[in-house]
Amino acid sequence: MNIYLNLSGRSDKKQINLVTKVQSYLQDIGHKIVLDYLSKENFEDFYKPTSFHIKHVYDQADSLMKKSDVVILETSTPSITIGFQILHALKHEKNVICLYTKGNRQLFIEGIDDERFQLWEYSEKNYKKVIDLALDNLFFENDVRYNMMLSKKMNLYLNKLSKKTKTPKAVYIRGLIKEDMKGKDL
Amino acid sequence: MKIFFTGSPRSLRIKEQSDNLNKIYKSLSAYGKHTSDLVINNDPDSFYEYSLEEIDQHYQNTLTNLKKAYVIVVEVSIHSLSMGYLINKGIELSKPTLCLYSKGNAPFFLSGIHDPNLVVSEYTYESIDDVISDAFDYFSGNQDKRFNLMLSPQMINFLNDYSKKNKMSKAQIIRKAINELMKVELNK
Repeated sequence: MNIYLNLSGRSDKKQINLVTKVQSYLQDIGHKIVLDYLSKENFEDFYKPTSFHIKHVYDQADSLMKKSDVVILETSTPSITIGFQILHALKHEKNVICLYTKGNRQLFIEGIDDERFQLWEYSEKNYKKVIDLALDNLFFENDVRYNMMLSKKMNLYLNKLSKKTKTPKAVYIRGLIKEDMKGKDL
Repeated sequence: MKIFFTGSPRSLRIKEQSDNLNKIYKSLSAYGKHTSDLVINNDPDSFYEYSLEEIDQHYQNTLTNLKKAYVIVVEVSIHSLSMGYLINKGIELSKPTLCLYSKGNAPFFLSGIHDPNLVVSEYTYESIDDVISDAFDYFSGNQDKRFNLMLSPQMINFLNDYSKKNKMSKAQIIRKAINELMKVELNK
């Protein structure tokens, strides 16, 4: 798949290193990164008007995002650009995976209710597993929306579990069904 | 006129930013009614401790207040994901959207967006009234005009099919065609 991977230009070195690892892993498992700011020699120069023409940056980001299948955004650093791009990608019906490191959750976007949107906490230790799970959970046109009623008790349990495991509720339910499907031929 | 004014709750932790927000809020009050006062009456400490249910409720309330408003005003001096998201929402809904930033805090990415409904302006505490007045003058002279036109059944069928196939409204298709023609003509 073509993946648009972006992070704030103000991200610290630790975050840049982690996203670099995510980028390498995505490439290792056969995906193509369509936006490659990370490989630029002077990431710190991003905001200097001489380094990039501002309009060009916007147009390029817009064009590459439209060409991508999945948009992955690092959200640990508060950024107007990244917030703007989350909605921009959803408007273009892209799957959006937002990643954040411990202690850097972004409250507002936790309210986004869209099957194409996923929010994951990740770290140096678990980033491969998180990426695998997130990519396994992408929503595509062929998928079928399924609404169901849950008791208050079940909903409360799911909420707590989701918060504790940092996993979307839908991922947990899909995991249960997948587990149940193993070895069964209905 | 209803106005939705917002800014990062973290702004309220900084005295200078907090003063700016209060003055902007007061200045905007002269133009109409605010759909929310959370921007000046928020507790940034408890805000960031919201439960999941409170976050959902806050998200829904924020979008409802934004949708109710005729004009969106966003203070963008403090970097914030939610502000970027809400600016995009304002543009998506074709609402006049004014982004205000204090000196030295120009939002890099927003400056690259060329949308007639988006104004990005620098301000100082002293110039807030003038900057808002200029922006509102611009918005009042820049409103979309309704235009009715007759189309043949063939054109209507085409628009229906194209609209369905490309997930665009019919008005968006017509505006896109005009924009493309304008680009060609203006480049001659």
